[in-house]
Amino acid sequence: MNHLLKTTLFCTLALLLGGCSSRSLLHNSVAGQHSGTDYRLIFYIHGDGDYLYHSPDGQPIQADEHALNKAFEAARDASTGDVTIFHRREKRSFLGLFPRNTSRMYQFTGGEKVREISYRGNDSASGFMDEESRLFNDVTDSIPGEKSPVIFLYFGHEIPQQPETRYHRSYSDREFSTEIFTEEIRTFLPPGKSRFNLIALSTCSNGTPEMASKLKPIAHTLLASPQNLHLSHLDVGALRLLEDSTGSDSASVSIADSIAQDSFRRLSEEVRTAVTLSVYQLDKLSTDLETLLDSTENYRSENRLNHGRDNIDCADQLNLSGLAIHRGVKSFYQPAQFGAHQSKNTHSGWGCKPTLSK
Amino acid sequence: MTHAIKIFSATVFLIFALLGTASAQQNLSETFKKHFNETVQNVKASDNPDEQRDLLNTSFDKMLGAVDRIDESANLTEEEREQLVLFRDQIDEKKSELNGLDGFDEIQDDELIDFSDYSQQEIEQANRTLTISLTSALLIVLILLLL
Repeated sequence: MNHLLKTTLFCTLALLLGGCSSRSLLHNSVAGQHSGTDYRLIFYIHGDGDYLYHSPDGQPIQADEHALNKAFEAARDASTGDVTIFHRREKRSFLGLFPRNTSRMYQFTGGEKVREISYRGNDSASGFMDEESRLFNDVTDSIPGEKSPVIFLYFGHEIPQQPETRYHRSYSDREFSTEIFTEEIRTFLPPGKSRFNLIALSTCSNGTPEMASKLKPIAHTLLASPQNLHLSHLDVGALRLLEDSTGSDSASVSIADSIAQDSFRRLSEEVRTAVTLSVYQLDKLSTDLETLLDSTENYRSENRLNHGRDNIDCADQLNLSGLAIHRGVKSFYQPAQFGAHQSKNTHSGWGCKPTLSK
Repeated sequence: MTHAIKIFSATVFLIFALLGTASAQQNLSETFKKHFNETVQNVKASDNPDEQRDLLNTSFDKMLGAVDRIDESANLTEEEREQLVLFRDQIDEKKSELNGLDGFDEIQDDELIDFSDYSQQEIEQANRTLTISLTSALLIVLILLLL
């Protein structure tokens, strides 16, 4: 019995000491650190919330775990690239007292996992992805003047347009918004780069004039859903095209197109809700984006918008005649099989918030 | 020594009970999703359209009843109440479409399974979810309402 008590005390002490550090190195390998950095992929998978959905035969699936598996596949395929994956998970603690490092950062180089770090949220952090930004900058080697393509992929719920709390279930006081997102992902750019080649948002309702306008200074191409996106998220297998890519901006557009096509094809077969995906070449939008943004802002000032509801097609709300809203935008759209908009057969590629009455 | 073990066990039990309470406060939207998943599976298991329609109507009614109970019993913030209204509207709309009310055409018998899938997928989209914290007692009441 004495032996049992001693073992219990030892284990408890080990857990307590382990719980003191907000980061723990779980895996570190030098075996895979031989390939050059032809490109960088950064995945941010949000799992600190309700991400439960069900397969057609009723099996429960956690969307963030599902997205993590897709990210792992992309990382293993990236034989000439560097991949960083953040999986932000719900705060948990041992016996309700000692915080555990439930979130994970994975780094892959040359298709092999070279590092895995567990971490947890910090109560005193103010930014939405403060912990990940610090971790990334602490452990990632920056190469001065690096010009390799960088792609940022975000998996989660809709990023709110206006500052809102309660996005992280565990840190419900932290605000999140389009502007906060834009400011924070800048910190993931290598010192030599001012813009991402592609930002892919696997979320609902973020293919909006506001999001495109905010991201334009820091991204060449945006892939997002103007309205609905099922929790099974984007398919990112087309990222392997980077292996043979020239790294040009047009190559990033092709990759965004392929991700959108693959995802659209699967979702069109699997789901009965609307499927909407758009690829925005942000440099080509220029004055049309500004005019579109003005229209949405005018509309917002004259109407009370319902920010909690799903987006509608901007073309159903605003007078867009004369605007080249399709220039620089490639849309993939299938209407819902049921519901009020089932007979709507075209889509502008832009999402807007409905008014309170709709 | 036995006494010490008893105290240790009781403490561990108490802590785990508290942990369970904390976890229960966070599972409202999952509770609705799990309930509706059972409904969809029951609809798919039935080949009788009347029964399928009844299953869906009963499920929508149970969810609307649960929403009303939350509205009455929980001390909600304005933001939480807005979320609840949106969720209620979503369920109301599905019920109206099922029964051909409020300008919708009634869902045909041979479309009921597809409609149940559609309704489930609408509830499980990657937009926002209910982030209302409830006491575990109220959550248990809601689970009973949904049974």
